[in-house]
Amino acid sequence: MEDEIFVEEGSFPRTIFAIKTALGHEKTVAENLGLKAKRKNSPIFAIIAPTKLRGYVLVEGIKNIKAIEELLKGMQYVRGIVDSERDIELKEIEHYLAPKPIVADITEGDIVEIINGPFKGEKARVRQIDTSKEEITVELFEAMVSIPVTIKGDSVRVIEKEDRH
Amino acid sequence: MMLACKKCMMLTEQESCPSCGGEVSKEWQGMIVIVDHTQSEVARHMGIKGNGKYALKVR
Repeated sequence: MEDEIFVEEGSFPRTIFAIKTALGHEKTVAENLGLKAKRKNSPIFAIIAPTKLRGYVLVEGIKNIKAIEELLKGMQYVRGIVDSERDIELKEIEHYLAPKPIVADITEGDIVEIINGPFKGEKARVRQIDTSKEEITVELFEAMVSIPVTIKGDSVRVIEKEDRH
Repeated sequence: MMLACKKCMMLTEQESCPSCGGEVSKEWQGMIVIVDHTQSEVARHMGIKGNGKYALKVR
């Protein structure tokens, strides 16, 4: 019982705040913090590790800095609480909870750079987009013969949008 | 390897979802750990009705 962190819930606001983590270890921190919060009965309700938010996890709970700091003490990959005056509201993080399709920002005709896989570093033009599978079909610029290649939408970076004027 | 249920998005290492029996996928992104679903507004917003680990997106 001495391990438990007791908090008078009425004296601190319910909010969402951020914790800084080591890059690439956001999910590990979320998992470990979840286990520790449950074990120590601390006032944390949810921990979110969005893919696009690198180096941070978002925590929903009672913002008692002292109790949270105590909970984070000794945890691997944790770099501390982002102690901001302004708390994060649910509507500000909604886009992380229902991320839009990876291919949403890509349109046919865009010029992209392939960032992983066997064609890494190659430039290509987008010919077709499959939103449900989140795949795109591209034509490589450097290829001797123009063969359409279908790749995952997250394997490319848009470097030039199609000129629609 | 962790897999995500295509239906309820729960993360599991089993070949089908232990929560709803749905099909699982290895292509998922983002994670949310629900510690107390009764108190979590985020869980309510996402329609999650149990504690545990969930993906934010499953393909």
